[in-house]
Amino acid sequence: MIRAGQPWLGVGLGYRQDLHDAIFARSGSIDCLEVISEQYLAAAPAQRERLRVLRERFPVVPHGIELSIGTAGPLDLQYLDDLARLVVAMDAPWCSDHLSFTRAGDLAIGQLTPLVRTREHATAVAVKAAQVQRHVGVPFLLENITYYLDFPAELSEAEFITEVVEQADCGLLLDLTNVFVNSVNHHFDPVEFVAAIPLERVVQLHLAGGQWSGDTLVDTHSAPVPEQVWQLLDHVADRLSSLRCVILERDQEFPDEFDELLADLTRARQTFDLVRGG
Amino acid sequence: MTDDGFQRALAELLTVPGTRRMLDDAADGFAARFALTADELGLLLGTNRSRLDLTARSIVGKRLDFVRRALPATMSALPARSHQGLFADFIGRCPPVEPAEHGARPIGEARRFADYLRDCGPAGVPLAADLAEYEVLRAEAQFGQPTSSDRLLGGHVRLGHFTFDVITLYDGWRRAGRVQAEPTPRPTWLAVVRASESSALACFRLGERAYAVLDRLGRGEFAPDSEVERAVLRLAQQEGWLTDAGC
Repeated sequence: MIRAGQPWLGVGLGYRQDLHDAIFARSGSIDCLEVISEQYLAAAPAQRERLRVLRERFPVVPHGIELSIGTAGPLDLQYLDDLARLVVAMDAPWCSDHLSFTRAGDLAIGQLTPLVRTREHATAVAVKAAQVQRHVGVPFLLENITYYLDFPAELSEAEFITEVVEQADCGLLLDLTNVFVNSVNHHFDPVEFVAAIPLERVVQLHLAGGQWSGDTLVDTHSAPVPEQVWQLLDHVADRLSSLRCVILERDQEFPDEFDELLADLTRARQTFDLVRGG
Repeated sequence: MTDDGFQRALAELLTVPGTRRMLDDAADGFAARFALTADELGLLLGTNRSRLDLTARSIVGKRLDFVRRALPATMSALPARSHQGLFADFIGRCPPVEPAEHGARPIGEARRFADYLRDCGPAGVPLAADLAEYEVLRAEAQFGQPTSSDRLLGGHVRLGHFTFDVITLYDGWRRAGRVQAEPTPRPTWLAVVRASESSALACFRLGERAYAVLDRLGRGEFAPDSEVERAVLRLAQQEGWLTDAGC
């Protein structure tokens, strides 16, 4: 799943072009970056150059949004070939995507959409996750998504995630904000949730902040990390034996003061310094 | 996986207006259309409608964000008061059909909007339609691969013909941040070309006849039968516009 010698990359940011100048101006406060895989799969020269510049300064990990591993039917082998080339070009220690579907038929809905959680589907996704891992040649991590629609199903979300990653022998990208958002919207205990998933498979964490839309908490990546998510982080931090990286995600409403983002990075770093004895 | 129909049905419910009415008013026909089991139909009928709306709005928001980011000059050419209605009509008419290339969703959405402005846009937007086409060509040339095209012209070369002089209008927008109001129509034929292993784009103004020759090349239909056509072909070869098949 994850090589024993894989180094700790630290606490970093999801790279967004809007943040480029600020990231480089404050690069000493950022350990690593995560880039969106699809922006570099069939990269134009400008994208290749940007990736080179990023990699010159930071460890960079790729994170996909369009593999659509949950779409019924086989994986797109051209996508896997492109991803494998990107992983080699980046010398990436792992790659990741979401436990969801974003395409169906000829529609690309571009929304991380939940699967109906049956054992049959868990096995089908696990087979594909194992295929991704073999094809790409580095550990593959699946991320738990935020979902607003939910369907009564054979398995709970925690059971479904566990079935998939255990069968596939792949890693987890645990988005603690997604756990919190889902716990609010679907009325479950986030502490019980994290106790029910294989935390030893968590290689990377995501943290972010959301906003309310009516009576629903939405994972907008547009606000500081909320206190409840920090509490969840404190709760799991010393149980993440495979953890190698923590990424703060911010996609919109970028703060005027970059320090607001750096404050969240610092808080996460302090948590893991304590756990790691640093 | 056994739920191809379920996923297609859910995707349409989220992106294609009118699908939800079909689910509510003619559930049996809906189930037949997507080959749904009774359980799957029950899941969809039981969907929380406000959450369905929320998810659909999120998808629309992302699509329009792609359009705004990819077509800034076009946006500035459209009166701000028209954006909301135009976007609503666009979303209603043009579902997010998957683009052929991975990572091409932003360009795919921009292409869809450009085609919408050209084919379905309300009267009074021909200038915006031209600008949208031009901005899409620039993005396509930026990402097109010189060698991976099934055309004779490389993917880094894009051709367009326009009612307005889009090069001047676009350059004016880059300098001033706004598009000249009510410019005089000026038919324009051009090639947008990305330099090899560079992100620099160059725009070549073409005569109508040279454009026609290159357009035939682009469609793979070219067999030069005149000196002028052979000269255009030589130019395209010299400038590195052709794929191996084209050479």
